[in-house]
Amino acid sequence: MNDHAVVARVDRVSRLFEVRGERVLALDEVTADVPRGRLLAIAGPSGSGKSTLLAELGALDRPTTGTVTIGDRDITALGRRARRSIRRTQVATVLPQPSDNLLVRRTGVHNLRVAMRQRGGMASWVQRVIDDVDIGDFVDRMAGTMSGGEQQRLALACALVGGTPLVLADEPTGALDDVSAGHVIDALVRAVSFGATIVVATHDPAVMDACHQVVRLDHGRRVE
Amino acid sequence: MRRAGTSFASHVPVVVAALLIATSLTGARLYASSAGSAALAQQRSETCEDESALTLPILLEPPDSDVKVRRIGDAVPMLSEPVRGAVGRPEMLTASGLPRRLTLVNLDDADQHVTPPLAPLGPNEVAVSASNLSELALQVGDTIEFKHGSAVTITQTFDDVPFAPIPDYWCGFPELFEPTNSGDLPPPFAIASFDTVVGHNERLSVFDRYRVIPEEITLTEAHQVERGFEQAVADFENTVPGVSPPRNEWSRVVQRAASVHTTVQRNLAPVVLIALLADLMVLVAAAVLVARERRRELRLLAVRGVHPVKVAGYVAPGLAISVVVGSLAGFALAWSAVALFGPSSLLEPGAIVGAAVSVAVAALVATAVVAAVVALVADRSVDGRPARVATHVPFVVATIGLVVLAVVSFRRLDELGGVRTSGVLSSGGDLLAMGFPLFGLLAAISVAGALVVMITPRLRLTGARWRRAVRLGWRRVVLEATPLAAVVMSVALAAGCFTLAFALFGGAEQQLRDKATVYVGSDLSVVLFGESEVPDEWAGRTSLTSRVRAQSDGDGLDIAGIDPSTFTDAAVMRSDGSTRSLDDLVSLIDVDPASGSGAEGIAAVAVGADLSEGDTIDVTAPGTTEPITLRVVATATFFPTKGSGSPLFVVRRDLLDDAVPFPSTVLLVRDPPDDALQQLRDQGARMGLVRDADQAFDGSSYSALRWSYVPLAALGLLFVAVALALQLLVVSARRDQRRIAHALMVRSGFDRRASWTAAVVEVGVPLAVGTVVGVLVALVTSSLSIGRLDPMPTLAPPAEFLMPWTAVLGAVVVLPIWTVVIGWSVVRSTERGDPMRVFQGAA
Repeated sequence: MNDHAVVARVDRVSRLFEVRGERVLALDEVTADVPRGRLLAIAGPSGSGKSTLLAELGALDRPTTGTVTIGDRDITALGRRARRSIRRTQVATVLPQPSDNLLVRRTGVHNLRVAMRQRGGMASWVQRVIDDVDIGDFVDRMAGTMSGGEQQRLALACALVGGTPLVLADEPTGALDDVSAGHVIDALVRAVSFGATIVVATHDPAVMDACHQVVRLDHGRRVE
Repeated sequence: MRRAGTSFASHVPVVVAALLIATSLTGARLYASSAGSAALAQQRSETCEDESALTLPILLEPPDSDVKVRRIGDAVPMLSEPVRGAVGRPEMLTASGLPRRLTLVNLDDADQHVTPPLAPLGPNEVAVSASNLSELALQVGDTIEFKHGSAVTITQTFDDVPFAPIPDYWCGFPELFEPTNSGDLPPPFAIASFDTVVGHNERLSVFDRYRVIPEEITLTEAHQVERGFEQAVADFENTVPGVSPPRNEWSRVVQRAASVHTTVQRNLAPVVLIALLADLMVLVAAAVLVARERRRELRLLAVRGVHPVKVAGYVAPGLAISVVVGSLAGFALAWSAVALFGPSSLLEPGAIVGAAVSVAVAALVATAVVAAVVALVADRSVDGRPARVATHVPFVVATIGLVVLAVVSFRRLDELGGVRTSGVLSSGGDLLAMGFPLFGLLAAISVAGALVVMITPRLRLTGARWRRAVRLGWRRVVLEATPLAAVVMSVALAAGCFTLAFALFGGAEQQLRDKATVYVGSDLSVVLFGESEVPDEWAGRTSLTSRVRAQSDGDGLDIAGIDPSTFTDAAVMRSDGSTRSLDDLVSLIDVDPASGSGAEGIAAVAVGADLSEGDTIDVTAPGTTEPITLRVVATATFFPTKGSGSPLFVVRRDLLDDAVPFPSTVLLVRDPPDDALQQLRDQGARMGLVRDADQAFDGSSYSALRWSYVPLAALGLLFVAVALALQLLVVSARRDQRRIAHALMVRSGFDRRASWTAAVVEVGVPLAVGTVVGVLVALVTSSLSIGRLDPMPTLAPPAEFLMPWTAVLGAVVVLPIWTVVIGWSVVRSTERGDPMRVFQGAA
């Protein structure tokens, strides 16, 4: 496998929701590859299916049709237990609301250690990810006292800790001001430079500019 | 690890759920124990303590016999200090020369248990009661000589000891006070010193009598006493071969109390079963609330792929604290409630320990259940199956199952009845049959719930022309069918249980009064021998009746002769006894056979007989040679004084007295004074059997029935908690939606008053519907049950359904209070939300 081998792939994935008797097609036969060591953006307007696609990649939802592959495994047909294992070891998701990703009444270090333990990794990796994402300035503070940008960078660090092969970030700058968003983007770029593979769902042009590749969606269809 | 996002509020539902479980488990065990203790106390109060005492004969030889016997008696637990007694029956020399015995009695402290208390009696001195003096034609100072040559001198006298009832101290000697079966006075007796009694050594018995301690004891202790008695008897028989102590009534007392305990336990079984199911619902609801309150951190764990077992382990310690707090509170609450409000405050230590163990086990299970539910909810918060469709199949299956169960249990109840009373023993009480009132309630309310689920979607478009606030409240009511049905059902169950409890409890009380009134005929009935006058101040409240047992074609029947001019002064009859009033029935028999009406026979009301008006029946009574013809002028299903399953014919008293040589005379008295019997005795009446309506059936069996129905009210309280929990769950679940709507609507003039209106409609409608459904279903169920649960179905009148107004009025009072409190909670939680955070989904 070369440096830009595919870490994950969605193949003709569709997702149909039923809401109060109405059918909503959130994804319509979307196909995309996620190359290793790259920062990939999934872009599109609200309701285009970005978050749904991220959820399919993150083993947080099952497609109605199509397949999702993480590494060599088609995770679509896996049972809950195996998919849970995938979420624990192969793919990490950063939720859009910064505080949703953290134990807000604990320090940043504690959050990292918890995430580390949950992945079954070693404690020494915590310091490495602190350095990689450059969060040493605030990581000893309580997560709840951090700014949104700091929280999101800490969340990114929690996702990366232990060398998670694939990190998914859903609108990581959506709730942030420009300065904070800039810090988060820097952290994303920095993490990728240290070997991480990150997929970002966003409609923030600044994020898209920082990405190696952009997959555009509109009304559930891939348009670019 | 610190539990992020946890708050005190998130612990409350779990504490409440654990409290309810602990209360149900503890309450059931302790309540049954309490009922057992109370039944034992009741049985003891209804049994002469001497008859249930251990009596060990003392032999005069060898001299240390009493020491050995004392040692045997002292080994039995929970007995009072023994009373040494001596009874001799020497034969008196009488003027007529006819043999007659005088009972000489000595009991410890007997001289202090007569009025006035006696001075110490010297050798060969006796004290004789006033009536005995009169009967023996003796007076103080006279000497009584005995056939064997000795004599005693009457040195003191005392008032007659009453016999209905006999004072507790003397109850072991009814033969000294009660009239004989023929109404004659009992044989004369005299109180003497121990040495005097023993000195006249003729038909002498000396004994030590050990009463059980007067304090209330538990059933377990009663069984210990029972075993102690058996051991003492065996030891005595080994020590004194050839002599056996008299058997006592203690085993029967314990057996009767144990029977009541069993009956209450059987009745509690379906209640506890349903209570635990409801508790489980509350526990699961509490777990869902916890999961909701901690959804952010739980979702984080689920997103990170943490295994549910680890999630459960993560939340379990915090939940365990809540469960332990709730369990301890529930245990203490149930213990206090039973001790304060139960049939008896005396509880079995074993029951308390058993309850504590079951609560501890339940706490472990509850913690596991809550943690598991929280973990599963967390796990299901991500990675759901696509196109999940909600299904009502389990609900429909459960409803059908409950309907089948209700039908089967009704048939069982119809076939077997409930707890049956035979004398003072209660028996029966089939679990399925006894469970009908509850099973019927559950089934009907489940059907109502299914109807709510079915019609709710159709109601969503109604109310278009209503005021905006009312319409909003209504739309929230019918927004989701399942939560609405759950709230309606739980409220209906709460209201239904209360109504059932009051209807059945009230019905049992009324049954007791009605049957006692019919059985006795009035408030008091006294068999009189010979002619006697009643006190003047009883005028207008008494009536003399005659009674005779007769036969017709070999079948037994009763004939009551009543005095038409006074009978209705003393007797009352429930209106469903006959199509005619009591006055009409009495006037119908108040005709003279020789009045030229042309009809043959004595006019009679046939009660419980297979005869119609105009029929005649020939009966034969003791002492008559020719049959007496009775002509039925009216029929009734029951009538005052009807006591057995045999038919009763009511005729004019003077006609019966003319036709039958030896009818017994029964005096009926309405509203008798407390000392009615003493007053009668003062009038010179010779009395036989006395029946008091207040005590006729006040036995343990009815108590068992009443005690069995009370826990239904506790079940009602439990369902109130369930209903509250469900409603708060719904309110909590809709909080964000409500806040968003409020944030938008407040700008278009939707003021606080409108918020209140909407909240009251949203909260009040399910409550009102649930209450009405619950009360109506409970009324139907209890009206179907009450007659079939009659513990004495062969004794008239049949059990009658009584409207439980207390429960209905209680519902009317509680409903608005509940609506306002929850409504206030809705309004407050809605208005407290920060609109911006609401829209961000972070409120």
